[in-house]
Amino acid sequence: MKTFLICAMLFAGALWWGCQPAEEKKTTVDLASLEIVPNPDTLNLQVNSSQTFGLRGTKVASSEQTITNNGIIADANYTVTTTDTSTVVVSVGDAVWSSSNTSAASVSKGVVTALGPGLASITASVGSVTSPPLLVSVQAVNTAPGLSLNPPTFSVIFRDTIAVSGNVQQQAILIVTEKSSGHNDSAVAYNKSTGSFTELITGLASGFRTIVATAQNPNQRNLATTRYKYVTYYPPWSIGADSIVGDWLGTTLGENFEFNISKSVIPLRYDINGHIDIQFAGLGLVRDITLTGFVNSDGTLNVSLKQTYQGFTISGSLTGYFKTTGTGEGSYAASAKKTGWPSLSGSADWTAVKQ
Amino acid sequence: MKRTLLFFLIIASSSAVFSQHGSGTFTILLGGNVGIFNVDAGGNFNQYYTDRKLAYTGLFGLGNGSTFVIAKYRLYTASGSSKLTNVDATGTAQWKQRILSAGIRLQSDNSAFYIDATYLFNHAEESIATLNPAVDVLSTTQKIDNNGVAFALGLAPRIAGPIALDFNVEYSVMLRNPVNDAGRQTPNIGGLYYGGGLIFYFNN
Repeated sequence: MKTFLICAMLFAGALWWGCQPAEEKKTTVDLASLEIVPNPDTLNLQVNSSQTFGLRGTKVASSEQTITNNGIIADANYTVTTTDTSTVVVSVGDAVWSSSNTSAASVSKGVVTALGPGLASITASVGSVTSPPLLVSVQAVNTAPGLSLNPPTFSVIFRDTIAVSGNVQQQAILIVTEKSSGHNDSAVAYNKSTGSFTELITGLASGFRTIVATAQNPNQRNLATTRYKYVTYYPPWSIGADSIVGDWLGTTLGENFEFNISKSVIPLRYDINGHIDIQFAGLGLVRDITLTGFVNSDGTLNVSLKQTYQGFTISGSLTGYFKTTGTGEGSYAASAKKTGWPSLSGSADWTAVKQ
Repeated sequence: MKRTLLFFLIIASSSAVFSQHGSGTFTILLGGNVGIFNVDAGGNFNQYYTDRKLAYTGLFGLGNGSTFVIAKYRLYTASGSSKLTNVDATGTAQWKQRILSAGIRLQSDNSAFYIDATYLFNHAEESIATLNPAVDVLSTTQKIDNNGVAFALGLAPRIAGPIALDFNVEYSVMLRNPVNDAGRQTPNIGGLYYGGGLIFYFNN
């Protein structure tokens, strides 16, 4: 009986309890980049004029979260960092503005004032983040107005229409002409604040064409600046356009890649297929990323990038244009994503020649 | 080390038993049974392990009169799911536990009832993994070696000659619950065992 009592007491012994680890989540938000807006390639100003700019920032919210796997006696955990990017307006008063040439232009709280002929770079900084420079070209009042056309200077197109864009000095008279289409706009409209403009030219005749843009000083018309843009227009599936069909050898960051351009089953379209090697920060060189797409009628490329590599899903796009029917250039941007990993990216410029 | 200690326990206990009861007839026990092992784990074991296998137990004993020195070996396995947090993935879990125990059995000559009191050496392994290769980092195997005590009540009616049926219930509890690789104190992985099998009694 005594033995049974002892056993019964021992059967009612204590239990040991486990515990679950607490979930952790830590979020930080940082300003990652800063941009002066609007930001024309070159701002053309006359002496004694001024222009007001704003600031746009990119904030990156980083969130750290611990994911766990628990058993009865085994535990494993891992910390994942996820990022969320958003665009925000930054107060011009919160930034430190500076001009590289204060005799040409000064800047205060986003207001750029042209003081004398010359070039100046305007930047804004918030903390350790500095914007890319805004290039300001200041001309004297009695000079030819500044004028710049957006690249490319040479391109091949497959339709009879082209949009010419650029930036002109305020108050200038802007004229855009093209002979084969009879286009002659002697008062091209442009944004009075930024000087940016886009002029659509239609009815181009096939072949090599020259577009002439001229900015005249309204007070003295002979003071003018002229810029040129050259396009070669081939109707799609014409003999000239078909010159792009074939194998191409591209180069990016010292690595070669290959693609082929062929006539599509879709009428008047050219398909692009190939492979490219892309360098990803944090992942290294990923080879043979599939490249598929087509040539837009304006001569630009519409190409997507796809691949799966070590559990990462790689996607992105490649853009560019033809300088001639045998040369092309552009850029690409791709991201590599995997559950539990931060998004990795790879981007660079490329050039290619037809084989 | 564990087996050496067990050997000494058996020898020491045997010496005590036989010196107490003189040089009369002695009995060798050989037995085996299968059963259900409900691991305590703070009451959580069944939440993790839905596919629980039967536990297998082997018995060896040596005794004189109503007192036996016994040794048992038990193997238990189970499979189920681990618990994942903050990630879209499914977890798997595999459990393997071996218990080696030694102690005393009390069973009078003319009774089918017996009582066991044993000291046990426990070894448990648990492997947890995920079915999502992107979070393979959450896969691990961790082990525990610790000691405990167990007490059993049994019924062993003779059915033919030296052969007896064996029904028993045993509760085991660990004396020390170690901290795992992640710094968490593990729960008691002893538990309640219900078994049934056969015992052979060989007398000299």
